[in-house]
Amino acid sequence: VTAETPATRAKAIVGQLVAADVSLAAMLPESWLPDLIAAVDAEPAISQIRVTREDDGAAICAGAALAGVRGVLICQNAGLLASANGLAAYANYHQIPFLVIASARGGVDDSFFYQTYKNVTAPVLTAIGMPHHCIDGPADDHLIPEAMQQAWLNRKPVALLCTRRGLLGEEFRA
Amino acid sequence: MKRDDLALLVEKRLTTGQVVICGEGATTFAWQRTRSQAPTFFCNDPMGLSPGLALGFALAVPERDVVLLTGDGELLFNLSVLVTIAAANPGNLRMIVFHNRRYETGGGQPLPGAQKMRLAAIAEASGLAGPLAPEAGASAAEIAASLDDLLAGPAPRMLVVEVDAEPARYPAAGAGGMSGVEQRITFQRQLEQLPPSVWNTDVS
Repeated sequence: VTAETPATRAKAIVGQLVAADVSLAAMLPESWLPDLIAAVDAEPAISQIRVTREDDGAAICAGAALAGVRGVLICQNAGLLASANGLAAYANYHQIPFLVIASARGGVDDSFFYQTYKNVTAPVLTAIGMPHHCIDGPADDHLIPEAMQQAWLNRKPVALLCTRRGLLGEEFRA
Repeated sequence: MKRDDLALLVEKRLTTGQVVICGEGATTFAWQRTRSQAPTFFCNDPMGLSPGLALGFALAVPERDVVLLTGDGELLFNLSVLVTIAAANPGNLRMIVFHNRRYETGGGQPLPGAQKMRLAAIAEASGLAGPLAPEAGASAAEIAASLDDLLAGPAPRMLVVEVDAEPARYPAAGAGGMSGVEQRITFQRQLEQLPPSVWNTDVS
C-alpha cells in the first residue's frame, strides 16, 4: 500500500471536487492547506479566488451559486467560526448552496498549541443549521460529491471537516 | 443629493441584461422605490458581504454587467473585500457607494472617522483603478456624468456619491415584504427571463 502524502491527498480531494462539478474555489491559507491550495491552483477546471476573510469566501460561493455555479470555500475551521453570521444567513435566510472544506484543527491529531477549535466547530455549525461531515482519510472522499449534492438538494452550505489524516495523509506524531 | 434621486439616476441608466446586487438597509429602500425591472438580488442580511457576493456572481456570469449598490456603513464593515475584488479583477463588476457618513438604519449615528475618510482613496489604494468621486454638493448633472462614465468605462471600478443624511426606518421586513428565500427565488426567476437564457439554476 502506497503511503498517502499531503500531495496525494490534495490530488484526490481536487479530483473529487471536479467530480462534484466545482468550478470556483475561494481559499484562505493555513498550515494544513498548502498542498490542497496548490492542487486547486493547478486544476484548470477550477477558478481560484484568494480571500482575506473566510466570510468573503462564503459570499463569493453564494454569489456564484445564484447563477448555478458550484463553489467551494477552503479554509480553517476557525474561519467557519469567524463566518458564523454569514453562513447562518446563507443556510437559513437566503438558503444558498455551496461546499466548505475546512481543516479541523484542534483535535487529538493536532499538536499546535493554540489550535483549540475542533470541539467548538461542529456544535456551532449544527446550531446555525449547517450540515457537516468528517473526512478522515481516502475512504471518506466519496463525501465530497455527496456533500455537494446535499448542499444543492437542501439549498444550504455543507461543511466537510478534515482531520490531519484526511488532509495530509499522515498519522499524528507529537 | 437624496438617496432616492441617486437611485433613480442609476435606474434610468441601466439597460436590459444588467443585473443589480443590492446591499442592505437604506440602500435597499432607495432601490426598491425606483421600482426597477432590473434583476436584483437583495443581500440583506448579512452586513458586509454584498461586495463578496457580487464578486462571486460577476465571476460566474462574465457575459453580464453587474452593478453593486451599497452603503458606506456596509462597505466599512469589510473594507478588505476591495483588495479581493481588485485581485480577482472582474471586468463586469461596477460598484456604487451611497455615502452619507452615517449608519442610517441604525439610527443615524456617525461612522467612525466620518468626516475624515476618503473611500475613493481607499478603493484606489486597494488596487481598484480610477475610482470616481464627485465632490460633495455636486450637481445632479455632474453625478449623472460620473454614472455614465462608470457604466461605460472599464471595470472593476467604484463610484462614491455623497448623499444627504436622511433618516431611514429600521426594516420590519425584507425587500418587497419577501423572506430571504423568496427574494432569492424571485431573483433567479428574473435571471431566467433575461435574453438570451444562459442560466443554469437547475439543482437536480
